Amino acid sequence: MGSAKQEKKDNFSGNIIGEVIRSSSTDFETQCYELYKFPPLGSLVTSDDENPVIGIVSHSVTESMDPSRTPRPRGPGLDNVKSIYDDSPQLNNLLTSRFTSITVGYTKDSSIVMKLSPFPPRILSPTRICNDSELNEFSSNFDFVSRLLNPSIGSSDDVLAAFLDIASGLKPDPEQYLIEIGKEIASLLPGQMRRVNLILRNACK
Amino acid sequence: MSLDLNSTSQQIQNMSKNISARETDRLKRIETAVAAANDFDLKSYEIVRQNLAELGRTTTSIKDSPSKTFFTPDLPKNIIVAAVDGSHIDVDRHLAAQCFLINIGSCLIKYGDDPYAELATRPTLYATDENMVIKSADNRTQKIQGSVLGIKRHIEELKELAKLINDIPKETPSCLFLDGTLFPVGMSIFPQFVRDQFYDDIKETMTFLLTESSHRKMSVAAYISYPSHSDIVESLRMLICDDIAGTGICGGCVEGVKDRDIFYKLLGPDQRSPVFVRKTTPGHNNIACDIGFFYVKAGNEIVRIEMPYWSVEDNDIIELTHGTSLDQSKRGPGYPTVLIEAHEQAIVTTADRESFVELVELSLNANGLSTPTSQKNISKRLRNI
Amino acid sequence: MNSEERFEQLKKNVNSDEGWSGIIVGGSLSDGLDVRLSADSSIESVKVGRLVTIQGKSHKFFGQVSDVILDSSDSNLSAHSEEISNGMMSEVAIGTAAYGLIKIQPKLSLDTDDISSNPQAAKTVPPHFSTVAASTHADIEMIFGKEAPGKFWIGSPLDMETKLCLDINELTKRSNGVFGKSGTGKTFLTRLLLAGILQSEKAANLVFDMHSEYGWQGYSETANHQVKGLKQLFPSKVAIFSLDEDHSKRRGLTPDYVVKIGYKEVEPEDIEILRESLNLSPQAADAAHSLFRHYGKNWLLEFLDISGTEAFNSLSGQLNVNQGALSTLHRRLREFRRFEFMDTTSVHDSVNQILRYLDRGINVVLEFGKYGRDTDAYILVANLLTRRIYDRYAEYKERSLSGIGDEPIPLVITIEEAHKYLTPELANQTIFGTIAREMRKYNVTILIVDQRPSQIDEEVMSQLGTKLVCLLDNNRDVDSVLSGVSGQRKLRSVLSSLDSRQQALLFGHALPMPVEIRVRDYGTAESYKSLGFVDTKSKKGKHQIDQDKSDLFGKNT
Repeated sequence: MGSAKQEKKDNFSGNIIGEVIRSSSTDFETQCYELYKFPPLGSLVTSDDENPVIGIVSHSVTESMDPSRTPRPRGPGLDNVKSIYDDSPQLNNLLTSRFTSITVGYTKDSSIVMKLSPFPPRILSPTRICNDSELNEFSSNFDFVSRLLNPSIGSSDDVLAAFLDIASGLKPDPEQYLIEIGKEIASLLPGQMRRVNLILRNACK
Repeated sequence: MSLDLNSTSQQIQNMSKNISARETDRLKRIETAVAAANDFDLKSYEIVRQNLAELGRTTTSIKDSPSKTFFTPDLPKNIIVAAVDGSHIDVDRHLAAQCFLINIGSCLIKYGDDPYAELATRPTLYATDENMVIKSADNRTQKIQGSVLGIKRHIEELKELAKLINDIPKETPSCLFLDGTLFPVGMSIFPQFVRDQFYDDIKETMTFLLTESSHRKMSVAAYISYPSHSDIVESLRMLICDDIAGTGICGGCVEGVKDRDIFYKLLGPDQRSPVFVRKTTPGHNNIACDIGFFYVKAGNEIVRIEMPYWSVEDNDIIELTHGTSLDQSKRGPGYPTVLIEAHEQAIVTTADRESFVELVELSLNANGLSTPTSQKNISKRLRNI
Repeated sequence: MNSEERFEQLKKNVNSDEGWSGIIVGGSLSDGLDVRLSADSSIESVKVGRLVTIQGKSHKFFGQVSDVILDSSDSNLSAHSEEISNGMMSEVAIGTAAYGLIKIQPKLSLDTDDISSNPQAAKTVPPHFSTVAASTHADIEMIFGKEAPGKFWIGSPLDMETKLCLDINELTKRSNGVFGKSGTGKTFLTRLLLAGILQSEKAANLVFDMHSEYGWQGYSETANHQVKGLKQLFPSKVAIFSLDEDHSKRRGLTPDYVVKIGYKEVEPEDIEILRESLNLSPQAADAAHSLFRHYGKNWLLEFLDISGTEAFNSLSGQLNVNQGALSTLHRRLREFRRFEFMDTTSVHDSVNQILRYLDRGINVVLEFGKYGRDTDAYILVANLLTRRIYDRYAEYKERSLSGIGDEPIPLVITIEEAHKYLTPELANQTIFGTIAREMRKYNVTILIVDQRPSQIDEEVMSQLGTKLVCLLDNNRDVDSVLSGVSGQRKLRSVLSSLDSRQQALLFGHALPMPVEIRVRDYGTAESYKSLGFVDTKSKKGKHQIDQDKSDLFGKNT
């Protein structure tokens, strides 16, 4: 097991951080190769196979691989988390970091389509963090906003805010970008200016 | 109808009353044994041992008084601890295919600089005639199942433990742990050819370990929690029992007293006993049977650590074993971390067992084989009313 | 469509001059249309009164902004105003949750499938989501026509630099009115209107120029300088008559004719309309008729010659008129003696002279000089002359109808201070009331220039074809001006929001729809030129002289 993992670590190119372990039309879950090596909330990721599906990280979880075994506190008296992991290196093997990405589009003929993919990513497809140019291209079209505001997605506003925080940082004028997309959000949330305000406030660093 | 707890509870209460009544006697006998340990006379013991050896009886070699205690040594900063554990799915005669599965889990943890852990599990299916049966030269056969499979699994664990050495750098001190006794017990009931086969396997592995330990600082330890051995108590009895001394009839001087009972009294926290050696043949080393062992007080319990006979000559290795066992037990907590993780890797749950059966049947069906299964097996799976 | 394309699309819909556009989201023909401004519109650039064009499916609609509203789709907006008003959020909210809403009153519609059709009064509304933008120059020309003979550039719609034209032909078919508080630019507007009528050659003007400001040099209160009169701009087309030759001469003008009125020309009707300004009782006014019957044509002079209580007593007896009334009348009419333009010569030629000019298409401006300050003189003269001219026109017209002679050129008579003699009591008796009511029966119409329209007879007001109204702030004046006009409520708000200078609301027959304008400039060299004035003296301006010098001698000399 350990050696297989090592192999994957060595092989992944660029930003591949894990593999899809659960997949549906609306979202997919990726297990990270390394504990805690998941992308920040709101990151744009894509499955790296022949039908790349684009998602925004909406939920991350680190927990025991075996649901029947729960972590045991090591304290009190230990103030340094790193020393705990040094002291119990097996924790890296017993815990797992996973993240769920809301499907916001897919790539077809090397262009981005802002719709649910006709096919969810295949299990064990590598998951890759999108690079800046991909993120820039994706965030220039506002069609993804309505997907993220879907009430079926938990804490979707925060996910959207986190995404905007990342995406706006790449724009020449982040504030202008937030204003423009803010108008899009406002038009999708009529009568909810307070909510729009909260999203934008959270999107500002 | 499930267990009638009402009725059972009544019987349990009776049992407890009974035990409680006997407990006072037992405590008295423990006191006797502890006193014997404190009064232990090495010379007297050696004489008794010699006499018994002449009668062909093996006894425990005691070089230090059992009441002697040893403190915890310091452990090296960089150390690798590894362990294996195993479980198996026995042959199910209700199943269409005759096979068994041994699942060996292993865990290797590096402490110190650049700490890491490696967890692995290696299942092996035994389904062919050759590897499901032990054959003698004269074509006698023994099916591997039940208690034979238990021994087989123990040997596979040892083999796996030996393999872990490949993942351990030579320069790093290491301690390999096995859960339970170092060598399988209960082989005496098997036919000679079966025992021979097993001993050969064990010998091969142990020889390898012996070779390895000659050029690296490595200990092999079997960790027995709550041991029910009474080797030392037996040795003490030789010195105090009227029956043995020929001075009278034994009045049950130390009857029912276990080694753990006396060492619980003798050892302070983290302390260990001297190392004792148990050999099958006096004056001769048997690599597949002979062990050294000591008791250590880990937390609130006495643990028995067994080692290959060659380790007892090397005080560094004894100290490494003592220290690592204690450290691991504290990390557990209560039981060595490395063994816990190996066990977790090896464990085969009920759900796993069911999945295994389904996989076997699916596979058979896929290959065009019908899977007649016994009615009992079906009824176990479909719990209708 | 991605956001950038959408943004481009929006930009296209915005009339780039104005910086706003919108789409129709509701409303009605009667209450006006609700137009939501696009997100990138600046609400501050939308002004009430602005003409807008709405692109319907098969029709283009034209209307006017009647209200500008700040609306929001979030009922809680005001509750969270503090957090939302901060920085970025306010920009986000503007155009989305908080947006500008404007009310548009649809006025005209034009069938876009039929190019030859003219704008019609809007009888329906454009569909939802039709785009609305400020009308372009082309739109304005489509509605009001291009500047051309008979189409006179009177000014520009508010906030636009487009020439808005009046149809002079339509205008002169009826009597018209120019109203406004004093000092709001009535005179300038009137002067322009007269120039327009003059230029069109569709009609001739006769102006009773009370304050001597139309014919020869007026005075601009805003620019604080003299402005040219009609005679100066169109010397060959304007004749100036004067009642006060000295006054004219002092201003460097030699009048074409000095008007004299003979006492014999004064008729009892002329006294009747002076009743109010002379403060005469009805009996006293009636006495004039008795006197006329008694003395004949020379009644006024003979009456004024009477003196002494006995003479009055006997006359009172003869005429069976109350002596008090008689003596009051005598006292009042004695004032006429102050009028130097009146003399005892039996018949004067003034009416013929005026008609002679008018017949040739030459416009006549009668300056009152010092008598302009005397309302009695003004009313007397204007009424007296008009009555006679009207009679002659009636004669001409009837002759032409019988096939004898040409139809007389339409005549527009401009009168001021009409509220003093077109009151409900007097309107029926004055010739002006008759003209106003008759429309153009005898090719004569009047142009009323007045500051108190509420005092003018309702019926006269209602007969006015086109009204050009500057700022009015008296409610009764506003009511009287707007009476009988549809969309009064909206026009009222427009009227009260006019600037006090150079702005006017125009409505009536000469325009397809009411419109607020900034009155065309008058008084600058450029404005004279645009009216067709050719500077025969070709006097070079100082700037031009400087330029010539530098051309000749090089710079820095």
